[in-house]
Amino acid sequence: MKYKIVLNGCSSTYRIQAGETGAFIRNNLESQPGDGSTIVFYNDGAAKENLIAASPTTRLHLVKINSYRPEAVLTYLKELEYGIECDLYLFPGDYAGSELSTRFAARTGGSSIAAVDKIEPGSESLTCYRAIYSNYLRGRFRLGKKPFCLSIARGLSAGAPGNQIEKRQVTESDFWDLPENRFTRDCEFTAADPVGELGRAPFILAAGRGVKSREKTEMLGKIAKELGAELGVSRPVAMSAWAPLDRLLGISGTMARPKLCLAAAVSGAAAFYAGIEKSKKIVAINIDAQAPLVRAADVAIIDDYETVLKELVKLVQSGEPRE
Amino acid sequence: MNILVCFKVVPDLDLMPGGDWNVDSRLRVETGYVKNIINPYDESALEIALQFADKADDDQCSPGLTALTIGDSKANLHLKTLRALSFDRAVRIDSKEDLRFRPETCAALISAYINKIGKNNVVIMGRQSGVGDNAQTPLICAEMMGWPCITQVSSIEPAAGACLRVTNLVDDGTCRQTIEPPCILAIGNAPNSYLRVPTLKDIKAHGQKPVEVIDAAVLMATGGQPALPGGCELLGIEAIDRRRSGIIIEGETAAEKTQALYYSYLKGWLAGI
Repeated sequence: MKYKIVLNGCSSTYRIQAGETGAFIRNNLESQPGDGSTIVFYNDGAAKENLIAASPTTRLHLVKINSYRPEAVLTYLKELEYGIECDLYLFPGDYAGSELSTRFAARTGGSSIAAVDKIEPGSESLTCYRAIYSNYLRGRFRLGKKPFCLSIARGLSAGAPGNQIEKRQVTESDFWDLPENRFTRDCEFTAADPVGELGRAPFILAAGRGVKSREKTEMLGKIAKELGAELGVSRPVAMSAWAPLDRLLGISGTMARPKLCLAAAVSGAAAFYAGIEKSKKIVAINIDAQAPLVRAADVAIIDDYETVLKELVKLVQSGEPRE
Repeated sequence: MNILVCFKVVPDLDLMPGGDWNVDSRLRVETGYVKNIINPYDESALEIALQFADKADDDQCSPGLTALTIGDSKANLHLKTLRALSFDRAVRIDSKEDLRFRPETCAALISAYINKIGKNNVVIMGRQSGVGDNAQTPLICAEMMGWPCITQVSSIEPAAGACLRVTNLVDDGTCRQTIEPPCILAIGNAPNSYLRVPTLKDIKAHGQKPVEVIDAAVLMATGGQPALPGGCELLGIEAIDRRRSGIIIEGETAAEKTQALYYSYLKGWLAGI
């Protein structure tokens, strides 16, 4: 299957994109080296040698642009790919990748699907799997029209670079001078850490809707510090502005991979659980023994989270041996 | 400015008892016994539109607000609530089709409404809705209309010259941009955007105003461009098993249970961090 990976080289997430898409190809396609290539959009802020070194394929095409705006990138991509036969365009699972995959399919007459976690190629179709019903179920879909345009599910792999590739074959295009769009009058960009403290944390204390107030959420933030953990929260907590958005765990927030996650007053909605399911160990603290997270945890305490956590702080800080 | 806010009524899947996912031979999932809610991202879209209207205090920017949904009559109660919340129009495109995995059809119906009836120049909707989780309707709608689309929007404010000041998340930061309609805005995580509740006075003043119902087939036959080919067919549905060992720590008091947790499990796990 002929495939192309489309990456955003203007973003500080480039290595994550390259790692995730490369892992997806390795896990899903028995491809030959000549089957695939990567298209990388980049601007002056990116070091070309780094883009080339992290590319998931031997062949890559570098496209110089002014800035990575989806409307402009779609126009450039269609121009680049005009008349070229390609079975599969693969985009990262980030915001830009999800947008481009759908819109590029619409412009090329292909078929698209977002947040795919697995594919099975057929002769003229592609079977894709992705989460449905707010992450409670998984659907199997058939895409029937080429080119197949997919974005992959977020957090599918750790985004580690794949096998080292000795020699790259690099070609280049320059769209630097082309007009970008006609609808944006001005744009201020504020950079943020794309991985975030939650994304790197080995130990997370997660707070759910059951904490019931901003004050209690702030108290949990202090307890997290005392335990040496980072505070994460579920969507209801973040949407109530009891904690900043960068503390949000789940499919619409950080997909974390800690060694240990203590989940306090979290019911365990599937969309939240997706953000902690890669944890090595999960401990649920909940007053409700029927909460879904209790079954999805390694260990659970059915009791008041505040009392349990305060007791736990004493134990962790004392480090006393058991009597 | 003529704003269309699209929303979807969905079952509150978080209320489904664990393991009770029955899929029939037509790949439909029985969710009839849980309450219906406005999809959370769409709820944010509706509240953000109301907040925008609150801020647009001069005539030039004062927007017309229309709430639109596609589906059967179970959405009527929500539409009446939105009328009470001062949406100028509350519209339901009546469709009994299975649209769970057909974002291209939803986008075609929305586009047909805009072109034939609403003449809106700003469309706001949630980026994704539970059940289908396609996350494609606003994007396909943008392609059908030939309009730009801003995704992951968290706030919208009026700006000079009939423009919008839009804040949205991108993969490595936040953009704050002034844009000129027409445009489609897909709402992502937006704190403090739970939909307000109408007062009794609101309900008395506006709640009895009619909900407009438009037949989907008639709309498409008289004003719609055909849906973009979707080419995505559902073949099967499976449950996701997330169970771990789920060991429940026993004890008389919270302190006793916490000590058991710490000494039997956590102390060792923490040592490995």
